[in-house]
Amino acid sequence: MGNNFGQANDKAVQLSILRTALSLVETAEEGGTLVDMPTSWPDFFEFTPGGKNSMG
Amino acid sequence: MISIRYVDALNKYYGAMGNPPYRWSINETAPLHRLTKPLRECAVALLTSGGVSQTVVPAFNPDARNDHRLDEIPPDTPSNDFQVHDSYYDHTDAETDINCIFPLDRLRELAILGEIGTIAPRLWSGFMGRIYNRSKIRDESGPAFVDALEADNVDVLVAAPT
Repeated sequence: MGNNFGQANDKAVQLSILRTALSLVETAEEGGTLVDMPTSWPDFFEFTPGGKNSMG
Repeated sequence: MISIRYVDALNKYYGAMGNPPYRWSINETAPLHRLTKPLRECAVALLTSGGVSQTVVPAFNPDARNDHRLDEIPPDTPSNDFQVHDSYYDHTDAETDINCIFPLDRLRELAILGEIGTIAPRLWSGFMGRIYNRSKIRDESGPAFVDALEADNVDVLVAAPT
């Protein structure tokens, strides 16, 4: 959430995620197909509902 | 790879506020609709639910509940002409670069490269905030959205929830 397509200004990763999503409409064999992206988040990342300043 | 357990985290977060357990929608099936033509010939639309609006229109209510507002976004809107108002996720990065959640620049690049046919005449932002009245989505706002996509001859919708 907040980074569905990667980090700010990371055009390569944004494009890769969008390409992967779009390619599924041609390659998916069944509905509900999930694909894990090979990209790793470069920094520590912890999802906090409501954002970093919320009660978490 | 470590997966983020969004549902577990949200259950814990809202449960700590004293809310009753959220009744998540569970879809047992997800019908597959195959394209009738190659992606390079398809019209593609984007939808974000991240409280994204053009700067020339009123902002979304960041604390909204059951907000079925749906904005039409002209596909040639500059990517620095957006504001983000949603108190339910961290949109720090999106404020710097809207493509983090609404990759319209990247979509334009794919169109230029010929990897998609065209960008749809309208992109979309809406259904933000927490929508509890799911029957309204199913019976009213969802079908109305489908009608709009069909009117635009959209072949593929990339839905990016936040």
